[in-house]
Amino acid sequence: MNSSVFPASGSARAGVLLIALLAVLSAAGVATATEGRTNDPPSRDSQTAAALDAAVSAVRSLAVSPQAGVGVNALVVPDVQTGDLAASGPTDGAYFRYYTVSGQDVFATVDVRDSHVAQLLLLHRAPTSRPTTTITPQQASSVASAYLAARNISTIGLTMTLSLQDHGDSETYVVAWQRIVNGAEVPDSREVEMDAGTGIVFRLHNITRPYAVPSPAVVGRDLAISNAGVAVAQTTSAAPTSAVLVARAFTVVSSDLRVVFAAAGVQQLIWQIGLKSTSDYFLVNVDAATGNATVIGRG
Amino acid sequence: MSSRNRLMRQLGSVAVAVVLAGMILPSRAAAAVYSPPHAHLICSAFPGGLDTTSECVVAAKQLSTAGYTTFVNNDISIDTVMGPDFAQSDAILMISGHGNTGAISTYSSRYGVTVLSTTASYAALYHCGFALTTCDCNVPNACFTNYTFAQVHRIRFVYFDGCYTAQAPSYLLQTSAKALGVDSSLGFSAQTTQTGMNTYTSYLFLLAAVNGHSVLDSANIAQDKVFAQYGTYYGTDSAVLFGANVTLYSPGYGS
Repeated sequence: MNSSVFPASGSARAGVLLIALLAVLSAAGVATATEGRTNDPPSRDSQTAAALDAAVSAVRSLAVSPQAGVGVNALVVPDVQTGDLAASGPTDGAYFRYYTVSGQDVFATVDVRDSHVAQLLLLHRAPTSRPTTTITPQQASSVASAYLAARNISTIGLTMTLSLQDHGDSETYVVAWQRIVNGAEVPDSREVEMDAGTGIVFRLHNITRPYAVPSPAVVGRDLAISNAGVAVAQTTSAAPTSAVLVARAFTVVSSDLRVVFAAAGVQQLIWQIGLKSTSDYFLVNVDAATGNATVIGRG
Repeated sequence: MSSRNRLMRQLGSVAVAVVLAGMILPSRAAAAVYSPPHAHLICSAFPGGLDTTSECVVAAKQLSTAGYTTFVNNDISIDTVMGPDFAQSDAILMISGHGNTGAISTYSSRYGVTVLSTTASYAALYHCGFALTTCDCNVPNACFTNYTFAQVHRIRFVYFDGCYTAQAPSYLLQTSAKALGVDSSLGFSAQTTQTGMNTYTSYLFLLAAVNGHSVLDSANIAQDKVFAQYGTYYGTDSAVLFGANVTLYSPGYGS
């Protein structure tokens, strides 16, 4: 190497060499005299790095866990590549603060609180063609139950629903479980989505977080719907301006009592009301304790 | 100067001319091709209060990052969009608004609007033509089905961003798009809510156009992103996709 590229004195060269040596030792994880004592608590960065590593491990373990066929044709399940998984975050979500873990084959979220995998999407197992025949709903239910059981995910006490969904290029079964307490949906649910032709699972949700058992709603469904209609009327001049007209003009397409969490993490019991006219759709949250209504979405 | 030197000088002049020609000719060809491909994102404000413009804005941000030339425009005809002065091969078209079973209203010279809507149950209402009493496809360029293969086939991806834009068994919008030569299209078979659709649309184009995932992978991840953020899918789980393996990554020509 031409020395003129690094024109430095002998002492400067020695300094550079020392810095380089320290950098190598640091990169190799070798403790130096300038670092903290071994009984010091780990730094925030090291805690975060460890948590991200743990998130990747949790996702990898779940992703590569084999899927067994349950009364279905012998499954040829594509391998999932997990060597490129990387974690980022955390990010605040509706029910939990989560790390995102992703790679070419995988997208997942991991709950920061307890490191459980809340969402797992195995991208290359998602179907890309329509099946000539589909498995039966009973078979789909069995596949989903076995998939969760093999991963020690319980559905005890949860209410199951099943639907066959047409996605154009593909058809899927979605098997979902939801815990209902005092008539309200609480943050304790599962979802398994699979190729309707093969039963190969590609999406898993395991949503669970601490919550206080909700008291019965003070505001009933009918009042919640009425208040939702008034809220809609107040937000658009195109909508009727009284509850009576609202009742005539809108069809109630959904009315779900749910436990949700405000941005500060405060638990709230709400009615989520879907109203549809011939031209518009509104989604309204109504506080089940006070009756206050807020339009949260349009369509 | 020797004859050999003269020959070398002449050869040098020829080489320079070839190089210059090589620089000039392709740029003329490129000027006619409008590189890179265009993304036309058509949104509208509706009488009921729904304004989908924000969805086009987030889509444009991602597609611009990916290298597309984006246009967020209202009330523009697909005939214009796909004409010689606008979109070229492998363009992207997004139409965002209300929808229901039936054909899509693109641009009506009679009504003067572009709106994602239908000719079915909403036909007599303002959905298809903004408070006008009639709306049908018997007006030039009023419905997606009015367009021809020659006009539409160069589009790589059409995003029918609205409720019930993909309805079994006919999937009229998407089968029309496919018949007209569109490589891939995405619609929804259920009610969607704009709160979630902003997030969904942003991730859809980030993943497909910037990160290089297939449209299917992008739609699936975007759906889970919406759930993580809101605790509900807001209808994004009703996505209906044709041309699942198409990618929007690396804008270029070829279809």
